[in-house]
Amino acid sequence: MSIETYARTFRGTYVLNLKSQFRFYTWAGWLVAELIGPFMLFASAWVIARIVAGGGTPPRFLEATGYPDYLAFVLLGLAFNGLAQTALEGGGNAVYEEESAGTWDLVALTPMNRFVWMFSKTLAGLTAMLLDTAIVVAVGAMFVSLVLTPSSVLVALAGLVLTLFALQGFGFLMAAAGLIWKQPFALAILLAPIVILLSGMMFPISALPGWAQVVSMAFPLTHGIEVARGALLLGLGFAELAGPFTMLALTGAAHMAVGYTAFRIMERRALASGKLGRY
Amino acid sequence: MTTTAWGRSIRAALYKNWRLSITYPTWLLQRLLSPLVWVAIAVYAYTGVADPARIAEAFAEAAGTTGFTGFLILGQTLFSFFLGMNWRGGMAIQRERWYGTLEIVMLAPTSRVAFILGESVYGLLDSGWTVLLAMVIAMFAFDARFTVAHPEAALLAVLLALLAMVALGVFFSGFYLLTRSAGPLSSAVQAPIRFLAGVQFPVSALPTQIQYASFAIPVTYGIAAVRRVFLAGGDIAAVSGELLALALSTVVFFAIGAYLIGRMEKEAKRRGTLHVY
Repeated sequence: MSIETYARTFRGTYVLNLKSQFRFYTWAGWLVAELIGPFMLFASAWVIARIVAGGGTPPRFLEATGYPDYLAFVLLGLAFNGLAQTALEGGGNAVYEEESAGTWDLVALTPMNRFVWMFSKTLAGLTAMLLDTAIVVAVGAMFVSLVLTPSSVLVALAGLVLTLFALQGFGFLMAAAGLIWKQPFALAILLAPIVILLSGMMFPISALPGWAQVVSMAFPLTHGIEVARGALLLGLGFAELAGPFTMLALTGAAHMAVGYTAFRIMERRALASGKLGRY
Repeated sequence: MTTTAWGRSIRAALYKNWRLSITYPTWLLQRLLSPLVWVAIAVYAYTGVADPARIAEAFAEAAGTTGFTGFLILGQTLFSFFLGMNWRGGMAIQRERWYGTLEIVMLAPTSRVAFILGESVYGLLDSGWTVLLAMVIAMFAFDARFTVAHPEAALLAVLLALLAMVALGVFFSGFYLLTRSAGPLSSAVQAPIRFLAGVQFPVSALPTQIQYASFAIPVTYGIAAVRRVFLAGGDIAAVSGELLALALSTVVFFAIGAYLIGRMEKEAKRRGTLHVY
């Protein structure tokens, strides 16, 4: 298969699915429905800070993390919530949508690279979700103080782009699970709070039990959030954040390798058992 | 429509949902684990930013209890029941749209309210045991202690809270009937209700103006009553205000919901949007 064929598969799938994602935004309530979750969690963090520290940054939090602003810490964590949910839902739905639309057989028969197809389909969902991320940060920035210098924004954006690719591994894993267990929504809804819990979106991961901290470090999202916090809360540059960047790239690559392998195995199993197309 | 016909509709809904549940067991795992994970998020959101002594002191001040893990577990348990009702009763019509069976349901000579009640009753049975099991596991995992000094108060508080949530499910189903975006809407109502009902903190910690909105939601009274009975050993007199509010909101939301279902169905048929999603 030539590079040109890969590029055509990528372009066709990406553009089609990006359009498909943005069609939801034609209903004004869609954006509100998507954003209300992170904002309410942010408001919950504000209430928690009111209860334990009279509204300021709790001393124990400052001591444990070194970040000066607890609410800004939570805001930047929650900005990644939509991306994580999209990776979880998008991967499973990539196959489920085709199955329920009756087009999976056609997709499966098309002589294209399945990795490129899945990658571009989930990337389209993640790209659309960047709008939500931008809104969460922009609105939240009115209430908290962020370091918004050109260099810190550049570092944060680099981390965000790398996180987009790293999250693809989740998508492949979900697609693999959806091929066998069907109803990928159930799995996505189940995993959504687990991702919030383990990636340290709302609290420092040092609060988790030891074993959970190890699992947390294996999530690319944890490192993506750390990069954003380091850049936009402490003004750190690429050199200071080399560790989280490296971990983000490594865990992302590992997730993608495991996810794609699982996807191909499950696809073969589904073909052998006649389950492909059943949903 | 006779009581027997209502009973048959409810029984049919129970049977249908049972078949669906055993067909898609992944949902069972989701119902069991989600409450546990949300409790963990709430607990670590506190322990990650303050030491246990400070949290206990703050809760004693704001909620009248030092057992903050029990406080959070009870909040999540009641909220999980609400989620179950929102999904089962509230989304009953929308699910039929997705399955492509809405016309068959609408053509059946039966009460729409009986149909939605059947879905809600199944939701109670189905989410009931999973949520309670999750609560017990969370209790051991986070070392929570409950003190029930008055079992009759506990029974009444739980019963009235559940009835209020069934009524809320019927109420929401009326709204969802008219929109093609019932899925996102039903998800969107969850976060504000989680926040306003005080699932993760005492409602008294909210600014006064926001508390007015909190007390317009039956879930708030359900959570408050259950916490008072299970954590502070309250009797019926201690929670009489909450129980009265729950009973009233059950009647009000059920009546409005039943009215809305009929009204919205006619409107959806007139606009030709009954099956649009």
